[in-house]
Amino acid sequence: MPVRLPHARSRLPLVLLAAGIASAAGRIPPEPAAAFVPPAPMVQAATRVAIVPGGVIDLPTPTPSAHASSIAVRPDGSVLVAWFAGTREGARDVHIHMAQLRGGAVVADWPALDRAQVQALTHRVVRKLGNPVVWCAPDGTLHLFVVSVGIGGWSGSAVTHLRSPDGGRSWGEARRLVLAPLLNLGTLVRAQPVAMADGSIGLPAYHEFIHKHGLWVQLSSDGRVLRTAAMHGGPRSLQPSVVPLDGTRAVAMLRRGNDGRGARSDTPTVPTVLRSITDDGGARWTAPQATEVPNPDSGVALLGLPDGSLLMACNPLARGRHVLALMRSTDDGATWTQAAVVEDGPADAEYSYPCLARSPDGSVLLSYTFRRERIRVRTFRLGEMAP
Amino acid sequence: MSAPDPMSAADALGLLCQGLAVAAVARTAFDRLRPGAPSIAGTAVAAAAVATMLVVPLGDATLAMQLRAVIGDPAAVTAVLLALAAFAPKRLPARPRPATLVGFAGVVTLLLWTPAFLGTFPFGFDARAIGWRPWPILVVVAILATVAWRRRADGWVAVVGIALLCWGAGLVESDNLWDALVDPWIVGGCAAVGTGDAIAARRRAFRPSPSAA
Repeated sequence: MPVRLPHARSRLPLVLLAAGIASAAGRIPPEPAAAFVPPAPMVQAATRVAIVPGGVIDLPTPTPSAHASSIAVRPDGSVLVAWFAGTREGARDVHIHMAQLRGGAVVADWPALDRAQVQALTHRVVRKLGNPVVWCAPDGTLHLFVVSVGIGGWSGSAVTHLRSPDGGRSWGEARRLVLAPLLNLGTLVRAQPVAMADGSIGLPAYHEFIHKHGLWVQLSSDGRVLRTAAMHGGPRSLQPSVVPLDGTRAVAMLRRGNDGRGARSDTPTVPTVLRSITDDGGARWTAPQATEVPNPDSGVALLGLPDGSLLMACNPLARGRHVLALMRSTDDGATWTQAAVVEDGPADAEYSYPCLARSPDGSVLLSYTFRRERIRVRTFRLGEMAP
Repeated sequence: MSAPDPMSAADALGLLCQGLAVAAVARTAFDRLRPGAPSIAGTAVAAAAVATMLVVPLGDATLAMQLRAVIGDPAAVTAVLLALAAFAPKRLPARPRPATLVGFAGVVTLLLWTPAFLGTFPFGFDARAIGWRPWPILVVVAILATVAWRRRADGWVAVVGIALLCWGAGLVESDNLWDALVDPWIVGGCAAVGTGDAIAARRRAFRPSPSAA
């Protein structure tokens, strides 16, 4: 009677598994630094700077609609402003437009990126573009983060990261950031990134598919995601704007999201700007807490001033976006006082989506959507505050 | 149609996966409609489906680019299963027990997706965030794969191994290892198949035997 030998079992699956684990281990990045580039040295603590209104620049308007501007200050002293322009928000002809400012005047403007280009760069259909965030890293690299939608509305968005070799004239490298677990739906950006101590990029993003909350994203300089931390808890919030307070602490001010039950108009309590803080370089954020500044579900912008105070541009209203103001805080964003009213128009006017930056000469730049018709840039000089 | 820019390996695999998804459906349908057909015919059907997706334009993009905007890139595990379903359906790994399938779908949904979409992270724990530096995930995968190997689930061990290889080689767009291992398609499929199998098994258990009639 023949003896049946046991069937030899292939070891190939185990070899594949071992090779896979070794390969995956090789892709894991080192622990990113949980530290910000600290703010520039401050003026004497006893000295408070005053905000003095300066010039007004209306940027060129090549299309009927313009919205969601963003400012980058380049090492050569010029200022880049990016926004989305088209027949209307969400239209297929919307493109990212850029203008270069020098010495308080526009020296050039050009269509920087359109839907077809993003589609060709990311190898997937793109139906609309929005919310460009342009940023110049300390090493001079110009980054652009742009929201794109393949299907559905803005809650179906994803973020694409691009870098430009020529100051925003062309975009050679594009990488789609995969930040959401379900088909990568519902992640957007709005506010300026923050430089991290190890050369990486801290990108304030937000999630708005089903639920709305802020999302801190730390990226390598080539756009690889190193870390994320949700700004969860508290009310619905979005569009965090972040300013480092020192090497490890930072504050984020967030837009209060509509809760879907009439937060814009019918809630008994006025919705307000929200505040979240981190004291470990962005690894963890506190649950966003309400401040006393009203917020009609509209974007805010935050900037650190050389005296250690914070400047916030926002619509300090319960309803509407017809008043745009600068608010000032000397206690890391806990309380705010009004520093200036930038625009105050009729109730149906809109002055929204502000962006704040420091210009090379030390003044403050504020860009914002002017009635959805154009982007307006205002400058404010910093002077010594009168005693 | 705009001229596509140089394609990364991750984009190439992402587009190929769109073709594989359609090819897997086409091959499954073909095998059911023509059960006696030679295997080479089924392979030809799958190959034609992949080629159609990658080459045929619809509007200002290929069919694969259109589909990619809708369903995204599947996880590498799903991609391997799609490739097997399209070109070597007999090599698909054996179906696990219903409880395993449903349990897997439930754990992934509760651990990864519910917190992210409801904005509530119990005890501040964000499981998805582990995927950026996924040493703990690799340890757990190694343990589970060893258990699977001991239970002779060789096919699943190989599928996971290939998926990890793909992620490590940069063929997966996401930097998060979770996105190479799970996606809505495989989780939804596990939930549906596991539930279906469990219902079928229950019906069989309660069906009166012929001798009792």
